[in-house]
Amino acid sequence: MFTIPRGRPGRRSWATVLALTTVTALALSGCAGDSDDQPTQSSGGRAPLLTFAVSAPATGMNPTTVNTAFASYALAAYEPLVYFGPGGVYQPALAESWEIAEGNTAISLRLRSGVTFADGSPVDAAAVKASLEYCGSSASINALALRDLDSIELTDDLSLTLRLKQANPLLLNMVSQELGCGMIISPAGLAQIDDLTVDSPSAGAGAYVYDPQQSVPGDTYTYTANPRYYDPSKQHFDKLVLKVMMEPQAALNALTTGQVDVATGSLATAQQAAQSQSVEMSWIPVVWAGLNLIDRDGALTPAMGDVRVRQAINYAINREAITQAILGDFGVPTSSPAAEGYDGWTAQAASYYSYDPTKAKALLVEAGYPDGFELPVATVAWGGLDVVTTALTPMLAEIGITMVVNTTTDEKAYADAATNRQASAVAVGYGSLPMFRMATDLVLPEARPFNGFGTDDPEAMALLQELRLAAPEQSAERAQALNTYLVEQAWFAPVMFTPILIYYRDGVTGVDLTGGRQTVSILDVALK
Amino acid sequence: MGRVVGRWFLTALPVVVVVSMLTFVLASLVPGDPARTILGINAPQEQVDALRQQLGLDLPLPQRYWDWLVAAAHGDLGRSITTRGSVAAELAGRLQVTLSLVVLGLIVIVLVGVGLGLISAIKGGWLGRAVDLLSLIGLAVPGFWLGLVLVAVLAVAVPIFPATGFVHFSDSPTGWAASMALPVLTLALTGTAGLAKQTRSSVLDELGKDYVRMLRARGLSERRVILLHVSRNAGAPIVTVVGLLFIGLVSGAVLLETVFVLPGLGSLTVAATKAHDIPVILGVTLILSFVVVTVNLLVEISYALLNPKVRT
Repeated sequence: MFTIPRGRPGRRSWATVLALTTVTALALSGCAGDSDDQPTQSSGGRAPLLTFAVSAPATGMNPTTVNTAFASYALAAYEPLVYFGPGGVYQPALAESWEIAEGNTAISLRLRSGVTFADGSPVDAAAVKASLEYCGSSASINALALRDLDSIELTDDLSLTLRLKQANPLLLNMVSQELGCGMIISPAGLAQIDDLTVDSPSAGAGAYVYDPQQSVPGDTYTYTANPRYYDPSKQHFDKLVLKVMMEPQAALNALTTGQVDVATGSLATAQQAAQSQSVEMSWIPVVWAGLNLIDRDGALTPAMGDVRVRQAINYAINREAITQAILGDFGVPTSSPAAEGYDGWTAQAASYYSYDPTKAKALLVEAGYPDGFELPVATVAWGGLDVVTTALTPMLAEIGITMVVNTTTDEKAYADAATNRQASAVAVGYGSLPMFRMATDLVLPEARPFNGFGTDDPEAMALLQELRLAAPEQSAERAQALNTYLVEQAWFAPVMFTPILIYYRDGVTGVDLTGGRQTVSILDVALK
Repeated sequence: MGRVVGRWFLTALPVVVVVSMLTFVLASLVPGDPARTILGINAPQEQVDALRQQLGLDLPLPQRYWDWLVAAAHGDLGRSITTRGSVAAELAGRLQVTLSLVVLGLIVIVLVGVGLGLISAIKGGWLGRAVDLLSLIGLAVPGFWLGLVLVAVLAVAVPIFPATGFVHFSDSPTGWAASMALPVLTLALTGTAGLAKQTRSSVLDELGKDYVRMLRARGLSERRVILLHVSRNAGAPIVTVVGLLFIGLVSGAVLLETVFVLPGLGSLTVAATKAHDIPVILGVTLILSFVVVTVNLLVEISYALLNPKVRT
């Protein structure tokens, strides 16, 4: 029966409460660092478990629909034809060799023999063809990768040739994991493609198999080693767990306390992670933030049709000050959209525009705009781009340019604002890519939403065509020529590269972001 | 009692339907296009339009809602727009996590809050003032922030509890208790003081009434007066607060699940809202609406048990 105690709890009562609390805490603390969660190296050379904290849930288990920013969800289970490996080197995967036709209009692939999907069916040329054709025709984020694909010819059971409608210097990129379609789906998976969701097992030939029974979609995605995988030496773990941690602090806490081995980092926690004794960090400044000066023919704002005005905007920006204020030590000022590590980058282009308001004013006077003008700008309320826009406003005002800012709140509104010819400049955050891919997104006259006024610059197109046709050994030179031209013509006003950060615990290897790779490949992660 | 339950049946269903309809309308009015989100910003508009058609997003809003309602009435909550997985399956696994958190939190809050409130009402003095102060702090401190502080102290600095994650009871009872400790503590710290204050206030109200003086004059012991009479009469407003508290805890769990990385309905709601995943948002709304109306029924039944006038 419930009784109300008379008087205050005695010393003995408090002692009992304290003892019970302590015992409970100690009992529970035994679970805080469950040894089963620690990836200790097993005797067979394969560690039992890797836990990787990612910042967003999977958009499916179909590699066609997986956002390649979170490619690990698919890559773990779907082997690509060609593997875009550490240092940006293409390695054989399902394809043991390849040959690119002169002029970059076709690629022939020779598949490994004896390789099977996880369900035991063979990985042959017919299966690869079916998977590629499905991906190219699907309503998915990755279908654009194969928009230039014209036909696929089977030479024999293990050989096929992909022919394109027009040249593409990134044919290997196209059939790697980088663009999604390169990860091959089995015929059985294609036959029930609508069921290839987070509720069903994966249907690839990857190093691991997705196990829905051990997964909680949206929270935990579990993969087990594929016993049929063709190269067991690449399977570093018995089990992979991708754990969704949307709150950056939660991811860092989990890493600090040993609950995860690798975590996607965030600017919000970067300083704390850098100071932590138990956390290692890898980061790459690669996402350029700034303005896309889209009205290059002066259709809406006549002044923007003059290259000197666009150059003046670039000279008016104090990139170092903005970068330091917003990103601290985790950003790099830039005048160029191509980041270091990518084919288009040159040191000269990266620092082409110094902060020089006097020169900027002189250029405006020279162009016939001594009193400046109004510049309609569309920005977005995410990714910190509105902050960058705010920082630019007083700098452009200093040379007489008044920014009239319209802030959008979602992708659709942003795409509309970038293409409806109501803004002459649009705030942009764009992850640097090989120059050809960037040019496809940003420079082609029909590229939307990033070339909203459809600028058709014959010189830029000529340089792009040269890049399109370039042999591998000439490709970087052509990419740099195109990037330099775009910088000189002030197509954009980049401000800084914002970072992609990865945190990991001591003893984890394979997490370096180098050679143009913006995401850690889960297949490279291993233990020392 | 029968009337209470009957009235509930008559009102619960319309409430759930109206809430789901409002949610559908509001979620549809939020700027953004799920098809554009899925395909990316540089997908051609024709492809976006094709996907909108495939997902049924091109249909008029009333028709989309009606289709969903009819399917839901048959137990089919549809598929997630983003993952194409079954909404019902996704909800089933997550409901128990959220309910674990909320029910455990509520039990702790009721035990400690009602206990503290009773003691402070009877003893008064510093304990009463402490309850007032704590309730103010509890109302002022955001659970999200408190959760981060507790993790920093009790998981990172002094590793007593796990910082994140959830363990199912069937997998490991102690692991489950450990995984729930900090989230429940966070809920309890922000909710207990308010209930304690309400309890104290209700009990003090009752203690000042004439019938209490009469009972004491008849020679009943203080314990009997409080346990058999005061607590019963003070119970009705407390039960109301507990009902509201439960609903508040469900809301609080949304953010806490993100902080503690618990696979509950809260974190699912956050992800679905970001992705404009209306079937998932509607599924969560439906489940939570049922939970809320059921809690309201339990509150009314408790009223009826505590106060005979309500039964008539």
